[in-house]
Amino acid sequence: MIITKVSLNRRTFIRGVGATLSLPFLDAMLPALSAATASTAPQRLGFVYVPNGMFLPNFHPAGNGGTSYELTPILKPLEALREHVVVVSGLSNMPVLANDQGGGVHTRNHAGWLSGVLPKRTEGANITSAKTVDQYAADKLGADTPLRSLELTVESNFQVGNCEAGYSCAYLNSTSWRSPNSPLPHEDDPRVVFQRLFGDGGSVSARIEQLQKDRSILDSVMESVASLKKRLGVSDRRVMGDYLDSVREVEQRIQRAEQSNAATPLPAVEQPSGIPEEYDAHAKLLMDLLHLAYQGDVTRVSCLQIGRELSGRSYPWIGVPEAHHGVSHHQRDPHNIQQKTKIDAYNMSLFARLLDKMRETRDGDGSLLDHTLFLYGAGMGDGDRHTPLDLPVVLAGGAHGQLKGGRHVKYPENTPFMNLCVTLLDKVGVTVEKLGDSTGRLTDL
Amino acid sequence: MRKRKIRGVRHLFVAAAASLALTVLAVGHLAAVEPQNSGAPQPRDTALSQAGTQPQPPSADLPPERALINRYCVGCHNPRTKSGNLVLDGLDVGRVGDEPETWEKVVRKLRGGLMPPAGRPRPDEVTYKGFLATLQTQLDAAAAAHPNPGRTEIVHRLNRIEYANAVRDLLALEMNAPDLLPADDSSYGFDNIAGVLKMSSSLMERYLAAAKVVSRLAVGSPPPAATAAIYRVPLETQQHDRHEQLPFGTRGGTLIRHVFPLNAEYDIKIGITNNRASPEPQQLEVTIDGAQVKLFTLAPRDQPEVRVPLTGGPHNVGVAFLRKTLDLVEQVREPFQNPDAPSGTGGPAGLMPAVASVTIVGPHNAAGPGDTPSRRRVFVCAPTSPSQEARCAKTIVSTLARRAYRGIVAPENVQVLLDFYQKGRADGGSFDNGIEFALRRLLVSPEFLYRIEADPAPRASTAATDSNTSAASSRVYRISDFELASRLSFFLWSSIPDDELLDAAARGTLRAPAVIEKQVRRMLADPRAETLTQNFGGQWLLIRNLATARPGETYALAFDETLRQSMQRETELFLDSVVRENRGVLELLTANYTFLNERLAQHYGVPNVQGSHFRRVMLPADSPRRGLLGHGSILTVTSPAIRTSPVIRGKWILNNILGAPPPDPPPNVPALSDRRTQAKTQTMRERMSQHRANPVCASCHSMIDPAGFALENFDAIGRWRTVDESFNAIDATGALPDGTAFNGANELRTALTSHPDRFVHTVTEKLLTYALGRGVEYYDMPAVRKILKDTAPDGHRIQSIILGIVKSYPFQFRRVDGPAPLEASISRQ
Repeated sequence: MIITKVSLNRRTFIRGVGATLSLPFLDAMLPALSAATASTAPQRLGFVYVPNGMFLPNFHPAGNGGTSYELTPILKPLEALREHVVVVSGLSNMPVLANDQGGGVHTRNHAGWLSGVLPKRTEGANITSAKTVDQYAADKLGADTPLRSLELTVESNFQVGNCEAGYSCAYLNSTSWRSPNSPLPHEDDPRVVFQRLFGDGGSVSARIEQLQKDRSILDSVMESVASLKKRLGVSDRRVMGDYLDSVREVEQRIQRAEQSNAATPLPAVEQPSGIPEEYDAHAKLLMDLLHLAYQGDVTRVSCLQIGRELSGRSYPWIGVPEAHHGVSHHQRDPHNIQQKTKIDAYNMSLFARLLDKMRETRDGDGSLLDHTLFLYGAGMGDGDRHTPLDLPVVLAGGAHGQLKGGRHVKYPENTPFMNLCVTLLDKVGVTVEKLGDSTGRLTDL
Repeated sequence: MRKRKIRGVRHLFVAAAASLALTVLAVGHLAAVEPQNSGAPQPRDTALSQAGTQPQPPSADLPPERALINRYCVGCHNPRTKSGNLVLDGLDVGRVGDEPETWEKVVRKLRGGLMPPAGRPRPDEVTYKGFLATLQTQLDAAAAAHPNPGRTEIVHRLNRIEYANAVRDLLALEMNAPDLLPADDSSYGFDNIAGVLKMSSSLMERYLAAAKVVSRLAVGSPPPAATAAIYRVPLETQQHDRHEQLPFGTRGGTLIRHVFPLNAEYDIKIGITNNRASPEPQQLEVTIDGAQVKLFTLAPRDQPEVRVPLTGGPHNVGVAFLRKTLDLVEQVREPFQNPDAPSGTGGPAGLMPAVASVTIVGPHNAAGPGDTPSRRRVFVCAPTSPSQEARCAKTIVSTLARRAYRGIVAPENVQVLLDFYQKGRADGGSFDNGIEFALRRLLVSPEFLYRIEADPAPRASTAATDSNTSAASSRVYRISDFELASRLSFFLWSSIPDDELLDAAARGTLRAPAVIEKQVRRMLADPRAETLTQNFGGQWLLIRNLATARPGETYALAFDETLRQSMQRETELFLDSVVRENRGVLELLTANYTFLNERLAQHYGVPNVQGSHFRRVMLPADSPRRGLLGHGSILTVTSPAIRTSPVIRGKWILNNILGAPPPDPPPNVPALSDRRTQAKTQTMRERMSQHRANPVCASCHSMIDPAGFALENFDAIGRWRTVDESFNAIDATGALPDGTAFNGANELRTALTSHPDRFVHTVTEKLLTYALGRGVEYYDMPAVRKILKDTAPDGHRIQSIILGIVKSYPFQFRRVDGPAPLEASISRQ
């Protein structure tokens, strides 16, 4: 018997029986959370990943760029947001092409998407990729927020056997990597995300008391680890280092949370009750939480996996009963192309919905979208060839005036995708000389 | 132990010599005979013929093994073509032990009968097997001289299932793992691989939160507010028949095991779907531990709710409709199980009302913690006066720590917990508060969250000082008895050791063969061993993926949640029976029985199985349902949404049955462009023919696809069929890579079991991976072969294999930090 069990704290009231979180309700709490005054609106950065590439002629607009480009079928959902987005063509992530490495294209294209570094082929303790661009941003933008960064996924990784031979599943599960050997877990349960963002209820004093208890526990754990490390061999101190770093980071986070709790009590809020059964509701709920996290200034950096690479999900509610990965190998079959395009347009419509909400949210002297920069894209270009060439890329948001929307920008073929990533970091005030195979900054953005 | 080992080694040498002689004879014999083909269809592959040169003529000057390799292998495995990244022409075949990693690759291919590839000349069976035996014997002898047990990681984080099981066994508290912790990354097909179970700050937050909840529930202190737990009944669950665990005379509903935190009142709210006017009012019963607490007569759109007083601890909450004669008629008349149907037109559960969810809200008017199993487990003493408190607290935390940390607990570790007891006692005001806080601290200790196998300190490594330790093995030591106890319990129970195991370890007797065997048998008989089925079996066979399988609309009428659960249950019960009844592992493929309920039997076309409960059903000799290959669960998880896939099924068989994963796709696979392949009238075989037409694809797909074709009589949800989706007759013929031909599932089964070593080897390797929590490497192969050999006399019974693993060298020994698997170049950021 499979029963989905979820518990939630009863802060306000229980809405009917078997109630899942209703979205308008989340809207109701928005006013209480607005973070920014005119002068303090922070810079924010977000990454959104979609799997299995795309059928590129249905993504890249025709022509050589400019403002008068025609929206392709996959871009169509962005129509009403046209002035807020920039479509980018011509970028490739060459370091992960690695044609001589045999099977594992999904793994390589995904794991190296935000680092431009080829992941190491292994399933053992030496899993190695590279620190991803979002984490460079988090070093600076995440320094003052309760959460350094937020990693989300709409697809559970509690499956087996669908990772590629010779590569740990970690490479497919984590889009974001804190360091070359620390893949960051991406959370799929809206209830857990909610609790990470806003705590799990109780009065302010009760919350602070719990936080203080957690802190005293962490302090004590740190001492034990120090004595434990003496028992362990040299190379594996690294592993306990993971543990210690995690403890320290949580402790800092608790400190900041204690301060912000003392300042502003959280609004009375009902929590999400777990993972909605419907994919559509699940994706939207996670995006609503992401929106709340930005709005409440709980975090300024995010990475959202709309789907896991290699995903075999079917989308019957938009007329795609076939598995995603299957139709992505379209073999130029018109039916497959049509189905793959439906999925990609649908994913884009989810993104458009998020952008729209952000545009409707006031933030300082503008909208939340004005003060955010998103990169939406896939690690593969053509889904059939499974190569990281001519990547589909959408930039969205104003980035405090750093990005001028309403354009299609086309770069020379195989311009490093990492050039875009370092340029985006520039725009949010984070300077990194070089990432992966980057050769410089992109002009004209 | 050591002495016997040495004698064993000498035996091996003798055996090696004998077998070598035999092989020489065999090879000599072969030279005069034409290479034999086994009568299988020979898909002659132009690509392969082009890729390699023709077989080399044997040379009289060469040793026979070298001649054999030159003749059959180096055409492809030479420095120029380097097929499979394997070069065989420079290796000294007389000194196999010098290159174990390479030769183990060769052995794996030969054991699977995968090489030379179909269509290429092959030596006769005797020569083939003789050569394989020679290689293995030499490898085993070399391994015996230079044993390498491998190195498990020093720290091994508990994954979430192990964490929840540990909480259950430590505190008598049943928690649902996904409620507490996120899913874990997996490698080598399992999610208990030490190297990739990383820690992160978000995970640390989850551990902190889990510790708070678990310690509160275990001690029974009041939650900060009433909470609601929602249990959903999946949408497409059939509810016209009796739920397997609910009383006769009822239909539908659900049974929930819920842990109630306190003696208090709780609201039980039932969500109903399809609750509209019906010809006869429906009655809904709520039971606690089988006793009725409320009977509702439903009015349309009712959302029934009842408040009941309950004692703290776990209770079974049952919700079900009373069955009416009318229901039967309704069910027959209504189309059922169409999830896409608009509501009111039949829908998932027909027109009848169905239970959609049960929400438990509470506690209200709490009256103390109650006499719960958790409190009985935790409070092993109860202070009757303040002066006794300190002593009792020490007893309690010491007892908990010994179990939680799985061995001897250093006094300073106990003191840390006592400090927290003091703080909790002072802040919260009661003895219980103190224990709760100590427990909360314990649950995030590295000693609890990690299994730690530290290298022995150089001077104190008593275990490694056996008299005959050679220079090569001086870096090898036998793990401690407590570490052995943990390896045992995490292998067989996915949990912490119990007191009996810890006691045996403390006495230092656990490693004694008779003692460990007795412990293993005891543990396998324990209900906790079901994790071998759910955890190991679920991952090995991919059954875990069934929960997220989404067969497309073609199957919408035939597939529903009840069927999904039934499929899963069948495989679990079957695996469990093989373990408990200690059957030969080959029975996994051939057993003459399975477990069915009415829903599944109907799906399979097996007559005379009625009712929702599972029972053992004997299968006739020609039944395609014999063994795992006939299980709906496996046939479904190896199919994409809308059709079958011989490729996925074939790969599944190579990986999980033959233990010979197909090689990677070659570099630069060209896209199959401009090829319209989806025309409806094509048969599966015609579709797959492009794999043959393209030589690069053919080199692997000629190995992968045929086994999948044999299962084509099963559709994408495991129903038997004789025509495909387009009404083409099914052609289920094919051949294994070694040429053994078959037609259909039954003959495939025979072909797969005609070389029992292949499957037994695969099972053993998978079990060993899971048991060690690391990838199995070439140096583990001698241990696997030893288990194969030792268990042959009793027909490879599963418990013998498990015992063989437990007694194996890699399970009982460990290599100290040597050539580090961790690259020094990796610097932390």
